[in-house]
Formats: sequence, structure tokens, C-alpha cells
Amino acid sequence: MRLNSRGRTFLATLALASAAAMWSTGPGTAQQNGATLGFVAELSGPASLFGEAALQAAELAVQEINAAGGVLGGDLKLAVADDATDPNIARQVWEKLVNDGVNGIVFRETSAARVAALPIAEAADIPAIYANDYEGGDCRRVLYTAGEIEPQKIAPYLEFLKKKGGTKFFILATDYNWARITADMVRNAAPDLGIEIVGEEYTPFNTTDYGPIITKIRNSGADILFSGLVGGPDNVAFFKQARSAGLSQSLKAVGNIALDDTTLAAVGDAAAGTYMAASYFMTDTSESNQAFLEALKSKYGDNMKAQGYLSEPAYDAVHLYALAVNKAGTTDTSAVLKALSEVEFTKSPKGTIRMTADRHAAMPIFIAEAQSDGTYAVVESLGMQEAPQQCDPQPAFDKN
Amino acid sequence: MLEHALNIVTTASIFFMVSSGLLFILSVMGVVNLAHGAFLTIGGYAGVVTSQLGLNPWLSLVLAPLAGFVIGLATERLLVRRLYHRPLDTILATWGLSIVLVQLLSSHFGRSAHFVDEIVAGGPYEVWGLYISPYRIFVFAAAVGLGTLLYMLLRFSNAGIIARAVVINPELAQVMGINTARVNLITFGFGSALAALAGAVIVPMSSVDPNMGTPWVIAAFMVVLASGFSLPALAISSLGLGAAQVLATYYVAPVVGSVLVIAIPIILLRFLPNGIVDLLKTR
Repeated sequence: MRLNSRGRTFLATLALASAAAMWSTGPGTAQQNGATLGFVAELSGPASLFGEAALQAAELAVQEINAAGGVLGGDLKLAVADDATDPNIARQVWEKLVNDGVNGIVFRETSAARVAALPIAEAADIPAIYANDYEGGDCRRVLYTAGEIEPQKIAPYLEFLKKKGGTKFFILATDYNWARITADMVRNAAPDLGIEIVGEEYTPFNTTDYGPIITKIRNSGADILFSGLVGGPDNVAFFKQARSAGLSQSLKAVGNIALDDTTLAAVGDAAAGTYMAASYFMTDTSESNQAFLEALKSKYGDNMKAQGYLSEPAYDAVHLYALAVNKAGTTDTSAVLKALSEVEFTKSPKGTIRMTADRHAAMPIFIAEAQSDGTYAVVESLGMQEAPQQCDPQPAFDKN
Repeated sequence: MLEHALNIVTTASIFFMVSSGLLFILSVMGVVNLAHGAFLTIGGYAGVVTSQLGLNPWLSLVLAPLAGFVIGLATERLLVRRLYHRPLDTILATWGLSIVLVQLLSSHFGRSAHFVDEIVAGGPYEVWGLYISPYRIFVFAAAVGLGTLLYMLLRFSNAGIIARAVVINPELAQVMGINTARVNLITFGFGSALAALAGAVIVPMSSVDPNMGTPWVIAAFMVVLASGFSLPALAISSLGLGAAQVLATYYVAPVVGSVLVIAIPIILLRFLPNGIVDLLKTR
């Protein structure tokens, strides 16, 4: 390509200008007052119920942080993006946030979106806090998890169910990755707890006819059903059919692991008497939770979304990020990552949440019983549960 | 063994109810109605509306077919009528329509599952170690009742004779002075009403959400494909596929049960191109 001198000067200026633009918007540069936090959630698509609730929780946290002095002497700003419950769109919005120069990202997305989008945060070298429940084991150095992981609740939950009067367990779960991994944890934990697994069944999403499965559970002689059914349609269909078949008469207890508050409302009284273990229930009567719900109510009024253990972690995640940035005294990634492993948030609606050296979180776990009006009532606290070690506890916080 | 029989009869009853509307529209009009699942969903939402208004849940069994009939008529007049003799385009158009209907339901009622007051509730009766719930009795009675009613209508009413004439030879029927356009209009409305009725009937065992029709529409298609245009054949097809699904789910795996419902009709059509109806005719 031949260019005259004017053309060359023009190109050189352009290159210089774009380099300058990149430098000035790059992460962690010349922005010592305040910080910008990216927030990605499902604001549309199948998971939008959780995403919208998580956004409200995150916005409330930002408001509280700024009212209490903000971060690094300035305001914490939230840059919100919608992943439409789609891993491909997740990648695109993460790239946009990174290009806009956010200092970190809090995200409430599916595991598929997490896996798809995290490399972007790794390449940009910014912290990413996962505000969701997942099966554990993701150990990338920029990733912190503010939600619970199944390994920290399975064993105490099984013990609780065993106390309900049975050692013969039947596992019913949706046939997909998360539920299969969770079922494996149950099977592996069972022998030490004196629990016998008398049957296992995995049903595809949107199974309509649970009749033969219900017959099978009854014929297995199980005392306790451990249910890892995921999503509204399958939980509603199963519990309606189980009640109509009188399955509860042959079982001593049913323990759910994925029946969240919102889905329970649609099941109604068909699931009454079944249990659920999670770090957070909206109906928890604790003072800290009441304060959280009041604050949401006064901020959003009638538009307030129902919170649950799949949305509330966004509130904790934003607070934890602010605590870490203030502790580090900078938005510089290595310092923030190091600080994130040391912070503890004591005003969470669930009580206290403490980040661990292996980038997961210790938090209280509660057991709730489904009521006939389609809500959960907390019946027992399993106390503070440490997350079993998932990752190398002494990560290199500096990028190699 | 008896409990398998009970599960099979229940599943077959539901298959029959869910697929009868599809059978009518396909046989009389030659239209593959991919909006069938959406009409079924509308029937389910009739239950939501009666619950929200605090009405007697049994009213949903009247409201659902009524709503299905009206929306079916509108669909025929505005959409399907313009696409006669263009079967592929009809498939696309009704598929598009079902997306629109599902999104309308989502935006009005919300995306999540709804709690609905049930028409038939209550625990099961224990008979000889079998658990027979009132709902199972209701579904079986509804399917047998509907089958008998449809059979009588087709066999003995004027409308039924006209419908059968159109199925056997549409051109000749037109020459004989039958207004096929009107027959098509009423058939589509009637088929949609049957779909919506099925939606209202399955509410006590299913989630009511904007996508509730999707898993059923596949089963309904397979039952209809295997059967061919004949109510007795539809009953046999429902029983056969119901048995395959129930037994495979119990003895092998739920996935195998769902796969058999799709695989059996495909293999069957290789040997009986018109479906089970061929078997009934050869006698």
C-alpha cells in the first residue's frame, strides 16, 4: 500500500489517539477516587426471575456503600449488563464491560455462561465475583465465589434428613451436569453417615409423566427421597403427581436441593412438609434479613422482586468487593485479589459471610420446611459451614 | 404388574386427550398445526384465570375449550386459510403463531409457573395395594367420555358425516355441494378447542407456565403419526406408546421411555404407511 505523507501522518495520529484512548480507559489507571463495578445477570430469558432480583440486591448494596462513604474516597458505580441467559451474549457483554474499563465484575449467571465468559476477565486481569450457588471446583485465580457451593451443605443436610427417621435414601435428579455432580456428592458422602442409597433415577428436563418413577420410588422401600429436580416445570409436575399418588405416605421425609422459593410458590401445597437446605431464605425472620427486606421494599416499593439463595448473593458480593477495595486501598488487581481472600461481611441478611483463602466463602446454612401456602419456614440453622477446600489456598495473586 | 397397568392407562388417557385435536385438524385439513402446544397452554391458563378470579375450578373445563374455539376460528380465518395447499408454509406459520402466543402469555402472566386451584384434588384410595387417586379416575373417565362423544359425532351426526366425506375425498365433497371452506373453519376451531380442553385437564399433574405445551406437542404428534385418521386407531396408538413409555421408564431409564415414543412411530410407518388405521382396515 502506498500512502502520501499526509496519509501517513493521518494514520500515525490515529494510532496515537487510539493508544491514548486505550491507556486512559484501561483498568486501574488514574482512577483513585471511587471504582466502577461491572454487574452481569440474566435480565431477560428463562432465568430473568433470578437476574432481576439479583440486580435489585446489588443496587441496594451500592446505595448502602456510597451512603457510608463509598470506596477509595469516591462513589462505587455499577455498570449493569444483561446476558439474556445466553453464554454467547455473556461473552459479548463481558467484553464490552472490560472495554469500558470496569475495575471488577460481579455476576449472577449460569455455569455455562461463567465458563464462557471468565477467560475475558482473566485476559483483562480483573477480579470476578460469582454471586450464585454452584457445585464448586472452579479455581481460576481471578474468580471468587460469594454464593454457597453444594459440598459445604450436602453432608450436614444428609445428617439432618437421617434424623427424620430413615437411612434408606432414593436419589431423584434432573439429568444434567449440576444435578449429576450433586448426586455423586450424596452417594460419596452416604457410607460414612450410615446411609444406604436404595435407588437412583435421572429424568430429562420437562418430563411430563412421573407415574412410573413414583412407582419405582415406592417399590424401592426408601424412607427418604433426596430430590435434585431442577426448574419449575419438573418440580411442579413431580410434586403434583407424587401427592396425587400418595407418595408421602410411604416416605418419612423429602429433601430438596434445588427447589428455590420462587418455584415452591408455583408448586403450592403439593410440596408441603418437604425440606430444603440453603444459605438464604426470604422468609428468614432474623433481624438482619428483616432489615434487608425493609430496605429493598423502601427502594423498590411494589416492584420489589422476591429474593432467594440464587439472587441474594449479589448483595454480599458487591459489599465484599467494596470491603476488599477499601482494604487494599487501590483497585489494582493483585492487591484486591489478595484482600478479597481476607474480608468478612458481617451485615449479610444471612448473618456473616467470610471469604476464604481458596476463593470460596464460609457462611451459615439453614434448613427450611415448605409450608402449605407455598413458602419456606426456616426450622433449623446448621450454623456456619466452611466450604471444603476447593482450590490451591495460596494462589499467586500476581499475574505471572 | 397391576400398578404398571394403572400407570399405562393414565398415560394413555392423557396421550389420547392431548392428541385428538391434532388428529382432527391433520386428517380433515391436511394441516400440521404446530400451534397445538400453544392452544394447549391457553387451556392451562384458563385454569389460572379461574383461580385468579376465585371461580369454581371446574369452570376451566368450559372456559378452556371456549377460548380455544374462538382463537382457533380467528387463526383459521386470518392465517391458515391463506396457506391452503402450501403445507410447509402452514407449518412455519403455525410455528410462528405459537411463538407469538407463548410470548403474549409470558408478557401478560409472567414467565414463571403459576399456582392453580385443582379440579380434582385429594389423596389416593388404596385398593389391593394399589394407590388409585381421584385424578386418575377423572382422567380415565374424561378420555373415555371424550372418545365416545367424538365417535358418536363422527358416526351419527351430519357434521361428522361431512367431515368424513372431506377426509376421504375433498374434491368430490366440494363437487357434492359441501362448503369445504366452512368445514375447515369449524374443524380448526374444534381441534383447537380439544387442545385447550386437554390443557385444562392436565393442569393437576403439570406445571402451568408459558411453555407447558411444548413437551406434550411432541408426544401428541407421535401418537397421531402412529395412528392415522381413526378414533379406535388413536386409542390403540395412545395405549401402545403409553405402555412403551411407562415400562421403559420403569425398567430401563426415563430417557429411553421418551426416545421410544419417538422411535416406535417412525419404525411403524415403515411398515404401515398410513399408521395403525391400516391394520383396522384390512379386516
